[in-house]
Amino acid sequence: MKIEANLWQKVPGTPSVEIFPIIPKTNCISSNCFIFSARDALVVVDPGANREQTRQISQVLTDALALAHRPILVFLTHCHQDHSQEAGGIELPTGIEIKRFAHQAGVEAMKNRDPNLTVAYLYLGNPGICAAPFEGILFRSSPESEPSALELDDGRRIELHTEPIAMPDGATLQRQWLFLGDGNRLEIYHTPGHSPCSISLRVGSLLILGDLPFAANPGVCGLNGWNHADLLQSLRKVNWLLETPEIEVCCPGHGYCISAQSMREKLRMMEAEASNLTDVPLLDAERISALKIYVDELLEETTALLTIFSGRLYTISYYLSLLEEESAAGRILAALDIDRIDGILSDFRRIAEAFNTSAIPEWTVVLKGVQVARSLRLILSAEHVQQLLDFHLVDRAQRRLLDFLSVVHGLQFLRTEQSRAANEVIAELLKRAKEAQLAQPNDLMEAVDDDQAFLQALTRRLEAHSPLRNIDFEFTPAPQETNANIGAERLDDILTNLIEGMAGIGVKHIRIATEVSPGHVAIRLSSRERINPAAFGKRRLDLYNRTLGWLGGSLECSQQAGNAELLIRLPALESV
Amino acid sequence: MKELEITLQRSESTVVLHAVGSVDSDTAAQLQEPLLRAAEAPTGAVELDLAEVSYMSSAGLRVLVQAAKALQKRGERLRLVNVPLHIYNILNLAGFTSFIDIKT
Repeated sequence: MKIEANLWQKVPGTPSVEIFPIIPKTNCISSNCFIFSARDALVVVDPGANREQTRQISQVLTDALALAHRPILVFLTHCHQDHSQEAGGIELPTGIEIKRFAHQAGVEAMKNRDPNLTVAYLYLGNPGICAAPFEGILFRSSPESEPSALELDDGRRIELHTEPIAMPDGATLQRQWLFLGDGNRLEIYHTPGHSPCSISLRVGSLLILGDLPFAANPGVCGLNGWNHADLLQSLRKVNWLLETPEIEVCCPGHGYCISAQSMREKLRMMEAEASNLTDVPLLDAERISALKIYVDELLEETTALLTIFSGRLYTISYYLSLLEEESAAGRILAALDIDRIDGILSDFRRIAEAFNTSAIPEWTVVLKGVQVARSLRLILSAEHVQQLLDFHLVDRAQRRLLDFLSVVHGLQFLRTEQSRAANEVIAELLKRAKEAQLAQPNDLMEAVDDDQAFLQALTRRLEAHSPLRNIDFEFTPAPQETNANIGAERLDDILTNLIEGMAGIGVKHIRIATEVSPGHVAIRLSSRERINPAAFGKRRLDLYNRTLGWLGGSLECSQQAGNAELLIRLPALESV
Repeated sequence: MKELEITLQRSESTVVLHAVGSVDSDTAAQLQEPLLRAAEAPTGAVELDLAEVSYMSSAGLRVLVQAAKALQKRGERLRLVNVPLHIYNILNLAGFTSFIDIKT
């Protein structure tokens, strides 16, 4: 059963209720809105935070009211600004009554103009928190004080029934419901975790989940009101609901509606991911600002790395074309979807530039960064990409993106790998650079009688075009133990990136030295050629300084005898 | 996003293109058309001045390779001049220095 945007359609599992979904392009500024038309009421779930969308809602309601006068019931899946801001902005014909419903915690947050629980702090220019009255307070903490019905002006009553569901595992799913006429019910479930005021709503076999399906995402978990234990419980409860045959379609707060089965799979994966999200720090304004800077730095570095990937493929294709192997050249380019990667990165640059002109909030940039990182990880994990490109390069890009997602999640990173002596990591890196200089001397000869094998060997040779191949290294290892508290792969990544950066600006001789001082292992990188410190790129240096800083280390660029030198300080393993 | 502007200067033996802005998937076509026209002409060296280019994505790299191929057919090499260091770094690491003359 497909639910389409911007048209009335029957709600599955009901005799007479219709739904009109408004599904804007996915963003964190304004949510989806779902309008239901039933005999006794028109129901609006999550008006959103966009004036244009509110005008559309008002028009859809006005048109529906022309067919039959009914009260309007507005529900919020939770009080976050992108769902609630316009709850008071709907314009209706004279005489039409409107009643608003939200969980008690959300109603109190909006009444108290709480910028934290409403997450208004994430948005630019202190947007107004919804000031409209909420007559329907759901899941009150003291049920005895709960009126059982809301009186309408025409004397009719909206009865709110409370009927918890006892689940087979002994847990209780808090449920309330009301009649919509013709035997149709609107059921409301308390599903906290994303926010304490999060609810899910069901009409027939359609379930609206608000932002529950995104609650474990990087850049979302840790928002004010987020709760790990509540989220895990809500996921279990909703998964249980979805196992019943009564639910066919699920509609999230952002993006398209999907089948119950697809949502079940998504929530199960999310449950596994969410189980690791213990000790997530609060995603407050200060942390979002810091993340935004990290997003900028990291995506600039990743963009450069991916542009180098593409450039190497173009170089291979250039030489294959010269050898009149046009079709092989075409295959090489088709294997990595360069245009798609380019499109994703260009899209991000546009968002980042819009931020720099203060047109969008920082949080949007962080969430866009998450989306970009996930898309790129997916592209890079395809098997044919792994076979085509230097696996070391792909691994580096993958690790960088994963680090980013972990940091946005609020998780620790870089401490999961085995650490090794800095001397060993450097020796390994130099060995790899040396091997790049000595491509297998016989591979072309051996493949000469087989067209396909010859082409593959030729392509491998072109791929092995390591930027380190033309560098003369001079390594002076410290005689002491150089065990540092950093994963060997991370250290290799940082060193390789910095050395490639030096190679990229034409350096041909690089001196590497390790030193040990109490509590620290230091690695010095310098060149015989004179380097302007600006050539390293400020953002690149800031990024590695930040990354090393999270580990108790640092990166400095200093002038030594008029030449630039990079000094990496790492915490010694035994000092931690 | 910054637009890309291309201006052209012709001398007897060389066509010089000056690019100003970002070369990415949205703007690369603006560079492609005049650069390929110059590269596919029967004679004349082709020089691209990147002094005022702030960013070049893979879409820009593709245009450079297309021009390099066209010039190679008549035994010439594309020349890039005033290449900003961060772009030079990418071109160098991608192996472009082996078939394009690149000067910072």
